Parts: sequence; structure tokens; C-alpha cells
Amino acid sequence: MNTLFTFGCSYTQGFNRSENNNFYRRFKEYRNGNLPKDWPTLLSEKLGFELKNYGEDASGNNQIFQEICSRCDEFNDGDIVIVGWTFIDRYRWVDYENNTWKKHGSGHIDENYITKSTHEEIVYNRTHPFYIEEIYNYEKIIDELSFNKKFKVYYWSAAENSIITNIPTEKLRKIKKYILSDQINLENNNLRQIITKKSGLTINEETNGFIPDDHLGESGHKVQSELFYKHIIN
Amino acid sequence: MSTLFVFGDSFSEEFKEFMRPPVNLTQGRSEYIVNHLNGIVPDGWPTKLADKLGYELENCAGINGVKHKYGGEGNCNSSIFNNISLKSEKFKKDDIVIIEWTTMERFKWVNDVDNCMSTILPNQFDGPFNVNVLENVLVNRSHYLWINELFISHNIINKLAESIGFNLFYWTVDRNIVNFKLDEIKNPNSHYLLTDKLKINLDYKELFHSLGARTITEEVNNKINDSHYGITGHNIISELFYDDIINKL
Repeated sequence: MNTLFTFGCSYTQGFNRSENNNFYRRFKEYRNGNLPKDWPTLLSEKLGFELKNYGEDASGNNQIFQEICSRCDEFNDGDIVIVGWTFIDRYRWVDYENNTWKKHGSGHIDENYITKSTHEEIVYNRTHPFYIEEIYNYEKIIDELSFNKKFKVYYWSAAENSIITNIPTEKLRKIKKYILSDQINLENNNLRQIITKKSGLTINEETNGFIPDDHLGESGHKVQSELFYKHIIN
Repeated sequence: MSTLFVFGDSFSEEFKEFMRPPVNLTQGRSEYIVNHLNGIVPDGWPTKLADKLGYELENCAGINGVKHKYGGEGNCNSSIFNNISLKSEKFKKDDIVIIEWTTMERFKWVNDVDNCMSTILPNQFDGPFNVNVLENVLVNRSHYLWINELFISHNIINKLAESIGFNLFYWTVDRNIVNFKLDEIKNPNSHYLLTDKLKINLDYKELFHSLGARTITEEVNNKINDSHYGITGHNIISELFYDDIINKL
């Protein structure tokens, strides 16, 4: 059986591997003790593939790429790899006290191991589009490995208004490795907007505001898996 | 004809790059050539090695690396990786790819003023940021997890070498990388060069020095301040690498 590998941030990680997530715990309670299937699970079922989901919440793009490097031994002929890039301001920083990585992005940080001013300068610097070029550069070596190892690789982005959508539309339309490249654009039709138009809702919307989480809910994951399936099959 | 691809920082650059007009004699290697070698431009170790091997050379290191959007020519390891990634579609069976990793402290930073992705060096206190940022980043990057990250990135290059069939070799000018990862480096499958000669506190630069490699400063008795290798260093490196590569092919 072939394998579907998924890499990315919380938009790929799904529900069941996020038991410490307070919103997801509340979502489970709201749904009388069950969590819906996430898009990687639904997609792997449609494809008839085994699933290995390596998405991890709060990951930055460097970490996502590192995870691909760690796992690339597992990719085989006929497998499918889906990479979901995330927000470019995210970065990793070593927590010396615990000898572990800390995941950072814009917003609140623990000032015990990085100063606020350093964090702010790093985040500001990382918003430059050159860091998007870095992502496209990562793709080149993944694509080359894909070509030679004969697995299929597709990319999408949770950072809907920068990565991938910043490619000029005419050029983007011809790049099949980008999921929904025939539909998305920067101005008014990013992935999230397409999912919304097809009645895919967030957790916030599915719980009528009871759980204020803008990650996708059951219907959102279902729509995302269908959209991805159609793109891959075509 | 097969190709020798070379990636790395200034220690893998060719001398001839420093004689392109206009020649800047405040640059150590230019001064070395003009004032101490009578203007005769020696071959760098990549050219010497390619000649010995009978390979075409594509040197993508340091000054020959991609600039602007992808990182400065000073080259941090992230920029070096970018250069490898950009060239990866050109690698073919039986080519040789040699990757030199630079010191871990260096990092990429967008310079808004010059609109380029620059490489920040540890002594660059005039960088486009508050000096506290430099100090914090340098301290953070001295943690071994950053070296682990570099070694994880080997996996995809190794896998590509295996699937295409090119010959891959690594080395580094960073003593900390050798000391932290000596066991992994000495593993026969590591792709590192000269592994039988490395020890704790005997890194590549010390090994080269012990065999007669001298920096430009040493070769000209301190008349030029440049810690890059002179002719002796490039000769030693090319010979050592040649012997090791021939044994491993």
C-alpha cells in the first residue's frame, strides 16, 4: 500500500494529535465526546493510502522543511507527499535551560529565554518576501528528490496571502504541484475563501462562536479533503 | 564529462575571482597575488582537484554562490544549502559534489537598505540591527541543536545523491561541528572527507596545518592580514581530497 505523507503546521496536524489543545478539547466536549476526521485522514481514505501525518502545531517553515529532511528516507515510488507551508514570520529558538527548541511567531513570547526587542526584530525581518523565496528554494531540492524517487509532491500554504499566492496568476496556473493552482489567487480567491464558498466552516462557526478557534471544523476539513483529492486525481 | 560541484564559503573560493577588474588591493587575496606572487594567479583547490580528477568544475562557493534574494557571498550554512538546492537539478550520475559547511554562528538577515539577503558574521557589529540582536543570535546559535539541524538537512542531500548516483562529500571549517559530531562524521556512511584523520580537537583546519598548509598571513610573514589559505593550503587540500575521493569512488 502506498503512503500519503503530510507536513505542515496546525492546519495539517489535525484534531486527534492535538490532545493538549484547549480549543480542540472543548470542541470534543461540544460534540459529545468525538472529534471529526481531519483532511489528511479523509484524503488518505479517499486515495486508499496509508497516512503518515507529520504536521505539528506552531511549526515554522524551517521546521517543516527539517521534518521533511528527517522523513525523506520513508518516501517511496508511488507515494504522495503534501507540504503545507505556514506563516513566514515563524522561527525556532533554542531554550538553553531545557535544551529544546521553542517555536516563535508574531505575538506573545516568554521573555525568559529571548528578549522582546530581539524577538520583534527577528519577526519584522522575517516578514520580508525574501523569506518566501527561501521556501521556493526548499521546494527545488524536494522536487528533485520527488522526480528521482518517483513520489508525487504537492504544496499548499496556510499563509494564504503570501506563499504561493504571490506567484503571478498566469504563471501559477501552470504549476500543478501547487494544490488548486487553477483556482487560487492573491486578490480574492485563496484556499480559505474557496473552502468558505463551498460551505466549509471553522470551529468558531460550527459552534456558533462558543469555541473561538478559526481552524477548520468538520465541514471545513471535509471540503479541504475533497478539493485536494480532486486536484491530485486530475 | 562529469562535473565537480563545489559549495561552501570563502575557503572554497578560487583566487582568480579576486583579480577581476577593478582589482581591490585592500582585499587580502588580491594583494597576495599582486604583491607576493608577481600577479600570477594560482589555482584554488577546487580547480586543482577538478584537473586531477579530469572533471569539469562548477564552483558555487562563496563569491560564486547565488546572492541577493538567497543570501550573501559571505555565506552562512543556510545560504550554502540554498545554493545546493538551486543547483540540484543539474546533478547527474557520477558527478562529484563537495559541500563545505561554514561556521555555525553566521546567519541570514534581510538588509532593507540594500534590499538583499545578507549573511551576518560574528564580528559584524555594524549590521542592520540592534547589536543586542547580534549577541542574542550568536549565543543562541552556539547551542548544539543548531548543529543537529544542519545534520538533519544532510538527509535530503544524501538521499538525492543515492537516487541520482552522484558522489557526495562534506567537510567543514567549523571546529565545533567536528567536535560535536565526531562519531557521526566518522561513520563510514557519513560522506565526510578525511574521516580517518579527524580527532577531537584535530579538525580540518588543524589537520591541514599539521601537513603544511599555511594561511596567506603565515606565507607572507604577517605582511597581509588574511586567514584564507595561500598556495600551500590549496595544494594540501586538493591532494588530501583527491586521495580520499579516489579511495572512496
